[in-house]
Amino acid sequence: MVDSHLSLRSVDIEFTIYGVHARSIKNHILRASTGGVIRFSNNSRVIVNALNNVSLDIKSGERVGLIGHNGAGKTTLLRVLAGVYEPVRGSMTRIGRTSSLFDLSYGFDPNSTGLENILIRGMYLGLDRATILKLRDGIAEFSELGGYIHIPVNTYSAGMLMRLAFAISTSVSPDILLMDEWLAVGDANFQKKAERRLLDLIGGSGILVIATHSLAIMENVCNRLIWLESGYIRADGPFREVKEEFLAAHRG
Amino acid sequence: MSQAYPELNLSGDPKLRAEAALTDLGRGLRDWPFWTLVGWYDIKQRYRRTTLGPLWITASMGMLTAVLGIIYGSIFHLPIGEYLLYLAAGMVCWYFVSSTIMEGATVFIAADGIIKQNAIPLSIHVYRIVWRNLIVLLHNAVILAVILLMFGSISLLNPLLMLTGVILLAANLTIIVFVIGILSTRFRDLPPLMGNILQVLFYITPILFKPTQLPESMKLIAYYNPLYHIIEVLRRPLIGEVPPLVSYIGAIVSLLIGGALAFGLFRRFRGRIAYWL
Repeated sequence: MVDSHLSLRSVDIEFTIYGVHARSIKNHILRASTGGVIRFSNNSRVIVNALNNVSLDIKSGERVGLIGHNGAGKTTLLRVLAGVYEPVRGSMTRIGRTSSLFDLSYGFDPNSTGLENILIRGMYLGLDRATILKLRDGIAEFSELGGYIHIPVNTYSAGMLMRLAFAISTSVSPDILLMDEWLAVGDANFQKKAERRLLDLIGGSGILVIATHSLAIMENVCNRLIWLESGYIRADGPFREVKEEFLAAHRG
Repeated sequence: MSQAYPELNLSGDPKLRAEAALTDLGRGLRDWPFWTLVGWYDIKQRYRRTTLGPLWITASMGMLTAVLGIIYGSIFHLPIGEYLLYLAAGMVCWYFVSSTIMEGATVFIAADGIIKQNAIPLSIHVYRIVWRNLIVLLHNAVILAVILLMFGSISLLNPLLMLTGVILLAANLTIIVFVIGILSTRFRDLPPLMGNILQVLFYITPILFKPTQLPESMKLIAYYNPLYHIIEVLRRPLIGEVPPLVSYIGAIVSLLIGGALAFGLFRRFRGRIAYWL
């Protein structure tokens, strides 16, 4: 396994809001308790500063939790790590095969069978045809969908779809695993199996980054915690320390 | 394809944009097993649970061509076989052009889900659209084969000329999709506008009529029309003729100019596309 590494240098992420004129909302901007920083550029465009001058390094073996209020920038940061948003300023470097478990069922064709969707979705994951065909039976078995795997997925319930999507998305062990909220998939039985697989994946991966509001979940899994606030890193360090800081700030 | 590309470098530095654009284009091409398969599945998906399957396109195009051929053939007083062949070849090429461009207008919008999840080369989405429309082109070529058999000139077909024509046309369309796709993601009124523009272009470009039928003063809508030339390099070989040199030059010039424009746009805005979605 390659020595995975994630690195951000002074990254700024800004979203220009099109179709809204600064004039119409300037009067309404007050200090908000949620969201990123809203500011106005020279030519009256409205800009949301989702991340501000964020620098960090994540090395192999680190399991990082992201915590913060709604709109603090957790999902944006995950997407930067996933390579979705190119930094407006600054740079991002990533080494290691990466799996983002954000939208599990993207690319599913309702009229194709479960088996066919495994092939299609597997290709979206970046696997070649031969590899997918080898993994296919294992995926079908893990999903416990039985005969349903041979019929179109538009006959599946939502829970069944998620099982299949989960089975496919977690069929390969990546070097870097990115998660936005812990996955709760399927009924109680399946959920236990899914948890085990997630923990296996995390154990096998070089790096985990997960955003969640639940300190309890992260307690089990993370060794480092980053606290984001309005696009800035407020705290970044060993899990216990930052957790104490975070709880202290929210007490009273 | 994050599994396939373990190293990723993204930067806000404008000086690195050209390299990032080239990397994207190159990686996209290397991923051809992906977009050829997924493009093929796109076509399969469209025709599930239909009786005729992909032959639907062929059948509907065949009907339209036959009807137009009979009516306009008699209006123009042209020998039916010759006109039908010209019309069918033009329609098949035009369908490739307009369908690719229409789908191209929403190329990144339609791929919103995957663009926001993983860093796969953006060019993949463009190649996929051109590929699946190429598949449709091949299906439609069946109509041409039928007409050629009826009016007896299959032996005149030159595979090399046809292949060159397909490559030139597909390459030009790829470039057009990049341009329209990028602009449409930023300006959302462009996709429906393209529909209107293409309709107008259908009537301006010699598809229903031959350029020789035009009065001298109007001949420029044919000869200065890049679409006319990029279609000619495929249309002529499809009816067993050799495209004139000026059309090859026209197709290559538009490839170069269009290519420069497309690369310029892609280099500048590739990193912005995810933000626009």
